[in-house]
Amino acid sequence: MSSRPKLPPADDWPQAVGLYQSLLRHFYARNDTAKAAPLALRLLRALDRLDPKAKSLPGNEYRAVIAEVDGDYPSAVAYRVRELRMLDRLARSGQLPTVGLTWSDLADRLDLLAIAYQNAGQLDRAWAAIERSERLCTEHDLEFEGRAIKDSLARAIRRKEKLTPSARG
Amino acid sequence: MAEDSDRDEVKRGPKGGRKHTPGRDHARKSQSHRRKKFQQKKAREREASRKSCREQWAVWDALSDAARKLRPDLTPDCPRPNDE
Repeated sequence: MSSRPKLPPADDWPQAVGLYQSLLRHFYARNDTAKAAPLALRLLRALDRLDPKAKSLPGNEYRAVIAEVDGDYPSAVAYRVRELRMLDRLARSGQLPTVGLTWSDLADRLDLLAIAYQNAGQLDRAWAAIERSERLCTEHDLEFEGRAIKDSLARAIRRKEKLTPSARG
Repeated sequence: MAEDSDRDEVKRGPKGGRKHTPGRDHARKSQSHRRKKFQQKKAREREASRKSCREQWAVWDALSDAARKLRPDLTPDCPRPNDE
């Protein structure tokens, strides 16, 4: 039996945000899945209480990252798509600034969706997402920050095209 | 007495002896100076925290009810400041 005391669950959104930031630090910046996994579990429990039906933007965003930590890429894609649908609805009605977001945030989420699609092995959809992000940046005179993702995707697609004929025989 | 015993533990031999340590056995700055610096540092931290709190509440107050439901992550993590 573990002697380490159980940490209290996160009761409110500020605590959940803190957990999410720790999760990002351990999972992406330090690549430490062993430390990220318990944080992901605590965050998921907090989300189940704070936003059980995933109706908010962070509810979907956080669940997408948790699914990634879990290696469940299809779920990560599903949550990213849900989040993007909400953002699209806001963007169409010109309400992005009312929730404290900008076009740059939307482009950023599209880049993350492209990564999620790539992880899930859906390269065509990943390409469509990253191209949409680039178009959005051009339209709104923003710097396109997904260049590295696009290059990596292009390489993955070329590799897949090379392998496909030999796989078919 | 303990101080004396510490002094006795000085290494002896060819490379022994107490090494040169500038400022040894001497407080370079006065206690009142340290206290003042500490108070100033804490005051700076308190002011930064108050400023961050005011900004968080300003952002939250500017959101509509619908927007608050979509962005609950912007909920301030401190009580509303009294000086508003």
